[in-house]
Amino acid sequence: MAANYNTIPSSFRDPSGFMYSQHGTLYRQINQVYQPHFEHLIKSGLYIELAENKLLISHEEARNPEKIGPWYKTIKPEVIPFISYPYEWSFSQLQDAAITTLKIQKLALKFNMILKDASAYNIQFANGRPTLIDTLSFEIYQPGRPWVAYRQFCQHFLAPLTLMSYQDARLNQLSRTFIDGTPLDLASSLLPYKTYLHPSLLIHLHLHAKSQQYYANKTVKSSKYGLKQKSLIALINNLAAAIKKLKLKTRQTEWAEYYSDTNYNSESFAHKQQAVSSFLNLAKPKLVWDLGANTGRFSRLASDQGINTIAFDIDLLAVEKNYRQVVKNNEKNILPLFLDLTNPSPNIGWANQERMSIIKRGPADTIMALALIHHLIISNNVPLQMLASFFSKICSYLIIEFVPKTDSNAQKLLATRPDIFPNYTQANFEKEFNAFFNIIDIKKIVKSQRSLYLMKRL
Amino acid sequence: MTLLFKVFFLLLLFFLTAKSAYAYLDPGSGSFIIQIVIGAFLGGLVTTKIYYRKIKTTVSNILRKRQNNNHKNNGSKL
Repeated sequence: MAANYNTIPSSFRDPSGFMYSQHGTLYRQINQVYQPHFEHLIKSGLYIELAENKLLISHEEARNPEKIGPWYKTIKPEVIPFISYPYEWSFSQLQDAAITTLKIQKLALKFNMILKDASAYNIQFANGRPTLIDTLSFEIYQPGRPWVAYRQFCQHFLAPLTLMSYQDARLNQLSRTFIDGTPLDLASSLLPYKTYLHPSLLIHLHLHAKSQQYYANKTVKSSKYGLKQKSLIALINNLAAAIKKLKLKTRQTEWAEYYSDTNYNSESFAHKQQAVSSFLNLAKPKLVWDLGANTGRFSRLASDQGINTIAFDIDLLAVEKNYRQVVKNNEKNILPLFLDLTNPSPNIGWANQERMSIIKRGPADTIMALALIHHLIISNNVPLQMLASFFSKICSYLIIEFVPKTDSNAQKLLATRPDIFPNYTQANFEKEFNAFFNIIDIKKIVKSQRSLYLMKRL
Repeated sequence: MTLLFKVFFLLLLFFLTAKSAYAYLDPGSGSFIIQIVIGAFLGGLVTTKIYYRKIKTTVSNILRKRQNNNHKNNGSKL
């Protein structure tokens, strides 16, 4: 009989269990081999402690689950509205994810357990804060045994954060290429020499990288060496202190005023907000993707109503600013993420299935594309038809702003290049989008040349 | 502290002279060893700090007691 469940392609590494979906519900099977560790996690009180502090995703036991292979138990974890990846996070998001991982590790040790992996992909943003989603990441601590995930932690968190802090925030994109984190020899060679003078970075990155190279072709009997718990805790504290100390460069954090858009005076801005809100009320989405969200001012029209909203932007510093606002105001329904629409996150990893592309993580109920399409059409030469086709694949409803060529912002984009866009007119825009969408409503934004459309996919 | 850092820089020099190679046998070996070295070093540092604080407290307690005694003695003379 054919299996009526789908294994999640990203959960194949750990023999402790695996994830699968069945009838639209996500389950995690726990295999017999993990039984003692799972029992300890629950009976020791660690699970309750972590779940109550929102550090670990909560779960309930599944009723009448499939029993696949060496089955021991099946759990149904709480659902995360949107899965995101480290190459879509800003500096502070990755930093918070790292600090959360170490906090969990310290708490686990108090309950005589330890993290057996420290992958950034195991952290997801739920209710605005980083949370561990892999319930099987813990194992019973054996005194004297070093932390097996130390290398992974340095590669997934410390190396990219240090590179972002000391060189450029855009180096978070390295994690899109290196799926098991930034190789330490690469990080070490890219970092400035002054990082050798920073004791924690010297030992955890530079010396660590040299040690990896030195022992690459040598066999080490791990049973010969041990690490006292006191030393392990000192190591974790040192890593935490090093990570907390990292900051984005001052020049990277001095933002310009993002909404000093000369095309909008306060009246037209208010009218645009009102129009977006009224369209959201008509579309009634549960999940909104705001493409080109900037620092999320319009995204909040959705998230403030309790709608799960993903605020994507190509500017990492806008994402950073947006996330800091989320933390400051303890916002739960908005997730700022980095996304380059001209080259969106692809399917990557084993068999190109481990980490999902942006399209695969959709469709969203509603997409907002405000003050966006002139950038895609004029700066990236995307034909209107291709734009409409792409949007139709990722949403049911579309709230889209048409920015004509005569708009001063569009004129800026055309200032240094010939106008090779004769088809970029409002009439053509409506014609091309009509092939994929029904136009439900159009609102001309007062005192501007722009129009806001609400469309529904055919 | 200075001595400990000298030891680390010597270790650094030792590793810098090592030939670079791509890890394919056991990429965890180097991380394993360095973790033990770092852990032992940091753990030792914590222990030293604890003992240093203990000694400091003991010495200051003794000194305080002596001072108090001196004050008492001086007071009784007056």
